[in-house]
Order: sequence, then C-alpha cells, then structure tokens
Amino acid sequence: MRAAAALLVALASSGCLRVAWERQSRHAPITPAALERLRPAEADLAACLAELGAPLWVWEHVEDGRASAVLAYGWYDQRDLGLRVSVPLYRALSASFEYDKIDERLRGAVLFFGPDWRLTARREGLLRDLTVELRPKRPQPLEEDA
Amino acid sequence: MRPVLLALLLALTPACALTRSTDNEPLAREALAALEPGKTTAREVVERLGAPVEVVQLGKRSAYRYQFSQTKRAVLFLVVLAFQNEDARADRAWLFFDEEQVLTHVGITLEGDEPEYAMPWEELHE
Repeated sequence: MRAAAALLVALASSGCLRVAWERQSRHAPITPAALERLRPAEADLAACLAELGAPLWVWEHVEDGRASAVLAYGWYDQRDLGLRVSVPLYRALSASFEYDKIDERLRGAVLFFGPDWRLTARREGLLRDLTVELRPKRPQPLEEDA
Repeated sequence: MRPVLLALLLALTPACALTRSTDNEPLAREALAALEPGKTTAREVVERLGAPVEVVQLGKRSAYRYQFSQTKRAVLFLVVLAFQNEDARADRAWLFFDEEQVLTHVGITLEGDEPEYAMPWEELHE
C-alpha cells in the first residue's frame, strides 16, 4: 500500500516537480590549435576567416582613430542535472525556482583587427565577459524632467 | 489492486518528443561559392542572396551577415524524471565590403544541417 501511495504522490507532483538531466550544445567549438595558428601582427582577416569560418558577431572597433572590426566566435556544450520546482499560483502563472541552474554562457574567442585588416590581438574566455565593452549599446529611454 | 496496476502502468509509460525548429532558409552554397572578392558588389550580393539578416557599419566599410539556424530537441519524461537534449547549429556567412561597396572578404560556416537528436548521455558530432 505504501508503494502505491508513493507512486500516487509522484504522479500528483509531476506537474510541479522535475528532476532533469539536460544537455544543450550550440555551434561547433574552435580548436585551440586553429587559434594558435593565428598570430597577432602576422595573420590577417582572410587567414582568420579561412581558419575559423564565419564568426557569430562582427562589431565596429576603432583603433588609432580609424574604424576596424572585432570578430567574436563562441560555442558551448553543457550537461546539467537539476531539480526544478514550480508552484502554480493561478491559470498560466507560476512561481518557478531553479536550483543548480545551467550556466549557459558561451565560451569563445574575440579577434581584434586594425584598419589594414591585420590581426592585432586575440582574447579567449567567456564571451560575455570578453565583449562587454565591445557590444553596441542599446539606446536608453530619455528621462523626463520632473 | 487494479488502481495500483493502472498507476504503475501510467508511471512506466514514457512520454517522449522530438522537435525541430529553423530560422531562415539554408544558405545557397552555389551562390556563395560564386562570389568573387575584388569583383562582386554589395548590390550583386543582395540580388543573388537576398536581404542579409544584419548589416554592420565598419567606418566607411561594412559587413553583411547571412544565417540559417536549426535546432533539434529530444525529450523523454518519466513521471518526475526528464531527459532533454538540445543541439543547435547554423549556416553562417559574413561578407565584408570596402568603401566602394566591393566585396573584399568572405567567411563561411556551413553546419546548419548537422544538429542531431540524442539523449544527454550520448556523444554528438563524432
């Protein structure tokens, strides 16, 4: 009888309790060897595109007062085991708490080019951290005077 | 005893789903291969490939992005246990133009047809 009760509880809680094993992968990773072949002051844009393919993002980058570009490559492959609890409040609205949440930050590389399309610098790591100063800023809403 | 058996049956009946989502059309490989740096203009690129999904101004130069992406998800639910895998890949092309709007560089990645359905413990893209 206890087993049946436990089973019923499990069934009844399946709508708000979930133990999940999840995996998410985005884009093919760049090999460290491919990045090592691209040396600043030696490699140019053509060599980088031939070696790494198309980047995820391209942004304008001003170097020595002249406009050039930054290329960002990124990927991730993350496995996660987590517990998710949702408490229904009313209709479609629910309060969700995710314990042990998946960290979905992209890892990657950022390549800086000079105005002559020569590679000037290369950085690797978490893409969000590497590009915080590079990404175009969204316009902020104007604050009205009180 | 029948309700218990019914509950057991329900508990052991797996629920699974396979979904696929795409964004834009796959890139035309022949049209990309026909682009000639130093000759092809931005106007000709747009005539052949259509409108890009993004245009980035690089001073007086510019870069166009073309992209197709595909995501495949496989999900298996066992009462409170869930196994989910999501794999996304993309076709992507960045085309760089000079001040005269002539193509100078092309970067192409064609992986949009590579995402796989799998469970989280399986290896992908081997």
